[in-house]
Amino acid sequence: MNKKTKAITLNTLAILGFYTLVSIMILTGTLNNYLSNILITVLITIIMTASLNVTTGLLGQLALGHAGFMAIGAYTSALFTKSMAMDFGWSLPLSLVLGGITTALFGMLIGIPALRLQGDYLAIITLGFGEIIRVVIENLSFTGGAAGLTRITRMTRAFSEDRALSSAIQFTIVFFITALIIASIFTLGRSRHGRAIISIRENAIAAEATGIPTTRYKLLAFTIAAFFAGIAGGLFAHQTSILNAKMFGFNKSIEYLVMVVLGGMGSITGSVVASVVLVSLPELLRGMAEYRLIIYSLLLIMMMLFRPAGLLGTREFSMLAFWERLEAVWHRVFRREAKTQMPFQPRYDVWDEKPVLQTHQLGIAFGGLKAAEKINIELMNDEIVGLIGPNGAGKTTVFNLLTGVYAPTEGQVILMGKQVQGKQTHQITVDGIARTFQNIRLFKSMSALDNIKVAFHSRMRYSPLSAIIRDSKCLSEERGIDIRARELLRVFEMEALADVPAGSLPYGMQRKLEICRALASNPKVLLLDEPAAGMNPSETAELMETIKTIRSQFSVAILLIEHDMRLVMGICERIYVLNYGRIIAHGLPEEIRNNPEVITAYLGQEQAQKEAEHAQGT
Amino acid sequence: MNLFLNQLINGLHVGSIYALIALGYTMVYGIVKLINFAHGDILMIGAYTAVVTLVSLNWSAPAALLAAILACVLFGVLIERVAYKPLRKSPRISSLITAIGVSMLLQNTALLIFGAQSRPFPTVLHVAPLRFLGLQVSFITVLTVLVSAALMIILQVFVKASKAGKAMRAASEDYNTAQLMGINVNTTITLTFAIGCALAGIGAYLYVMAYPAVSPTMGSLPGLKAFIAAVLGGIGVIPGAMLGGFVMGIAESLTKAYISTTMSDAVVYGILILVLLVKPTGLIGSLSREKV
Amino acid sequence: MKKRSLFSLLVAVALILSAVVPVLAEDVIKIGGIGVLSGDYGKYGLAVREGVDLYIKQINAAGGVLGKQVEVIWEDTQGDPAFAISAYNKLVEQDGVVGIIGGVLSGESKALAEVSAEDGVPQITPSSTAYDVTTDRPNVFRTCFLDPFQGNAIANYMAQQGVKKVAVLYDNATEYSEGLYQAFKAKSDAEGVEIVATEAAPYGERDYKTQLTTIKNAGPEAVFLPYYGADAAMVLAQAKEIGLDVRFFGADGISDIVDLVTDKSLLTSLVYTDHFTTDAQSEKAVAFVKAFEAEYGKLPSISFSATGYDAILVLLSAIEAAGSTDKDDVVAAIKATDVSAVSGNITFDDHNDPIKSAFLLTFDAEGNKQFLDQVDP
Repeated sequence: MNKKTKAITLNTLAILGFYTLVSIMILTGTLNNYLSNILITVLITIIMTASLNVTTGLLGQLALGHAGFMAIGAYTSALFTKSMAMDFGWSLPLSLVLGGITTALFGMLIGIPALRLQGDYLAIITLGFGEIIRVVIENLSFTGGAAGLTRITRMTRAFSEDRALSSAIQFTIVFFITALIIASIFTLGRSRHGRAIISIRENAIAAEATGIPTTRYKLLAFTIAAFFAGIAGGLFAHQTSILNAKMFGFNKSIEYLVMVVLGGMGSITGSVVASVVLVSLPELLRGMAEYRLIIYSLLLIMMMLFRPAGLLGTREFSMLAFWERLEAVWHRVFRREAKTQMPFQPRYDVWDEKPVLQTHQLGIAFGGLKAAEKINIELMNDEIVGLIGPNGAGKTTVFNLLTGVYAPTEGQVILMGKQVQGKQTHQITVDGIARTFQNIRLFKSMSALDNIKVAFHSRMRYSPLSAIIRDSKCLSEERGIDIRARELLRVFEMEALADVPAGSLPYGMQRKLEICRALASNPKVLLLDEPAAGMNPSETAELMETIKTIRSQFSVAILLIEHDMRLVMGICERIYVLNYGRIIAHGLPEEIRNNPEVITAYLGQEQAQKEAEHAQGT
Repeated sequence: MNLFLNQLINGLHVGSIYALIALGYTMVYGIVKLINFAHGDILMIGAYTAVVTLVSLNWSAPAALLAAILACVLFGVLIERVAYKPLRKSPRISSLITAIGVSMLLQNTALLIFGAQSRPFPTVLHVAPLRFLGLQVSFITVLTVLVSAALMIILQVFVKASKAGKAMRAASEDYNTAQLMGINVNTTITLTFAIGCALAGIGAYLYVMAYPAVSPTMGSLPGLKAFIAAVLGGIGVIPGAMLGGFVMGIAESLTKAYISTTMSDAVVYGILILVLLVKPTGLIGSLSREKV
Repeated sequence: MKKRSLFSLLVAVALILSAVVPVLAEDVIKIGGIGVLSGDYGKYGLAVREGVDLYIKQINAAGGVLGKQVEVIWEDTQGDPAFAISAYNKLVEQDGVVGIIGGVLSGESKALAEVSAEDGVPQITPSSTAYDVTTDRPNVFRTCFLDPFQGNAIANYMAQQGVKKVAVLYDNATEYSEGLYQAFKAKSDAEGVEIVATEAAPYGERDYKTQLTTIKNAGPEAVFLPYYGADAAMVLAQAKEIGLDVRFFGADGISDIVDLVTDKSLLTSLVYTDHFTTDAQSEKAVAFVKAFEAEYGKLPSISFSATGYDAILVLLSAIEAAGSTDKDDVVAAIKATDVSAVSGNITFDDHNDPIKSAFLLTFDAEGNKQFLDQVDP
């Protein structure tokens, strides 16, 4: 056994051992009802914090109404078991699922409008919804109004006449549900769906431009978080036997947030540890109750000031390694060949003679201001074309129009014969236009390799469910893109940097990685926005080589914005010149270099005349 | 009709207090883009200072008012320096969490020092209610509305005309450029917090005159509602805070009077959500989108 | 390394848990006290605690119960029913208490009844007036009267005073207030008192002027305020401000209002029902007030001190009568209780409620409580 296997075995033993030990202790009465219930509270809290971590940690959106979701799950589940004349052994699991689904629906319902916003506003909206949920529950009659629900069947007593046995069954149920949820969040987090969610946290605009439907993934994250919170609520209802809207107020949401922040936003392990500590400590130090919230708030502030990443940052205890090992064993036993599914290649028609990208009278007006108008551009396959113009000429605006960041107010964008204007950015990316940004937008805390894998997103097919259970479809596709992504890095000689966080790469490498990521979505047209900005001459020279390599190896049309004339003149086959939002010239580099209108645009009227006179004079 | 006018006046009264608190939110947000969650608790600090100086130290009413303002300013500036300043370059989520932490800290420290029991605030003004057109309006209401309106006009003039006010506007337009233009952004931010908190101090005094009880959590609800008012008016815009405050107060009052008293809070949050969804910039505000 | 530390963490947790084994076999009788002891409603719990602790001190000085000393272990719920349950679990499973005094708020008491009924542990609440706290709970008792009775008493008194039109302002988000409102509404019709306006304001609200303006407009002769003291103080001040000059009626929760208003003259328009009055003439009551004053240097101004005193008195007398701390015997003994206690004579009916009187009190301009009337069941 190597070290890794040893560690994994230890983990398995630790978890199963812990379960067995606690079960025996409950059965023998060593762990009395009080202690076992604290344990249950810890487990429920773990579900709450881990699920909150999906929105706050992975997606990076502050949610201040998580307790509201818990309330919906709790009430739904309790009302179900109360009203069904069914054996508790059946009605409990059904009610939990029902509670989870209802909450997920609410999460989605709230998410659809709310996710148009982000950051502070989203936080405030979730706060508002959390409070509305509370107020409404307080005022509905079927939820018991202010008095709440009472006489909900309790798990500690319901399963068996024998209390110890019933307690042990309760522990088993809650323990394995918690373990299952944590495992799902883990596996989901490491899948293409998890990468998509994390990429939104890292840089929403780049995520969209890389082909991630960001709105859908924000919604997915919210829905998942709500679903799990609903299940936690159902368990809570059947633990306490009494529900009251006040239990799920703003303070409760904040308590969960404190735990997530303390454990580290993005670290599920951190959430688990924080839940264990922050639930059991107050129980052990009951006398300190009045200091509890002071200590919480101080911790919160200190944490943000001195260790904003939380206790564990985004680090995880490696459950996945353990999981993969299990799978390997499984495959060995059943002698199943591990298949590798390469990401599918979009099949583009051959566009050798016709332009791959064409714009027709494209333009946009912000209010009365026309930032771009009557833009007509054509790009042939395998062509490198420059887009130049003085500062503020509207070059980046053109890129934004092509990629759907701005919806054009007039004209058409025709990509391989199909109109794409008005589509969302991620759709256009999938259709075949990829881009880089003037100010580098990488997913900074993700590894270089993961940055590229995000871009493969649209070319993979497995579902979130596959991701959670890690079926063969998911595994083979993941293996496939791992190979492809590494290949891509090899082309750019960045293989060795695969596991380095993108944010800590040197500047030139970051530029390269961004291009590399754009290529990973297999575009037909690549838009480079000032790729040489901030580079020294030797780096620029290297970049020129890179761009040429790309064209030859990837069969892609390249449109680039650049101020470095040596680069533009050196590699561009044709050049468009933009000024005041209009194309003022178009032609071969030689023609552009001598075009008086272009010179005027760049140097101003007078200066251009002087230059011209000077040229004549000599 | 009289009933309607009365309810309108009730709404104006609450609304003008919301407006005073909302100014603090909006000014701070304008410059540092931070929702200062602890702002409502600054109100609480002002109220406690007033009640302690008035009752325990037997100070006169104006002295107590001054003490309340000073305490608010002191705490506001201190909080900015200690908790928010180091985080200016951090992600916004960090500063927001810190602000929530500060709010919790203030509330729970007050709870420890003063206890949960609310303290009555003595009557400082013995003026009979005003009667006109068959309406009876309490003097406190008139005073509150007038004082807040006057303060807002002064503030608006200050921001538009004075040098420090211009620095504030510049800093809120573009923080970095303002710095390049020789504006001491740190001083400007401190001044912003100080003014916002001073207004909260006056607001606190007016608040406890109308609702004579002081307790550790008294700040959260008006704080939250004032924040909603700020967003409603367009956060970052000073006249927006005034408008938002009045609209919010009147909407709340009329909801309670004519729609439902049991669900009034839900209605208030509903208004917030609706505004954010339909017009996230508020009634009079502009929002810049991230440049790509 | 990290993996190993996780393993050791799990083991450590398990070891700690196993180390905390309940210690049994005591020569003291342990009683659990559960209630809200901090936060907005903390004063009610603390009042109960003062009454209970006073009785414990007295009985221990007199030799204890069954020859053993009695100890009360207090747990704070912070007003959260979920905490009440975990406090119960701790007290019963960990500390081995034989009976529970509590909870203080109705929500807590219901949560506790939920779990104590499963165990059959005797529970007496000194202050939860909601009707269904004891419903189907053979082991749960109380030493205070009920909301329906209070509501009835107030409606009845209003009718006596010639009040025909009344308005209600209540807290729709608090069980206590909501329950009282329902009880009052049920009785007022029968008494010929018409409710002309019903307004609500949830807890935490400070501004009641809109509601009061609406009420004023409806022209009632009296307003029923089923609020706790802090909210009621705010209501009275604002009613004066908008010129709503009528009589106000409250219930037991309002009794702490005195310290919460500076202008005590506001209180002269307030009438409320209470479990106990310091003016009470019975021998027990006089002795209690005297002992309370000697112990704490103040009057038992919140009547839950008296009902708390009675609750522990009933519980310990029952243990004495049962001759053991066996829970079934103790429950049976409580059921058979017939003692003259501080707040009146206590016997329990089929619903485990005491049959006892309510006192109608008001205030003079200095804020001293004035006895108005006694309402017998």
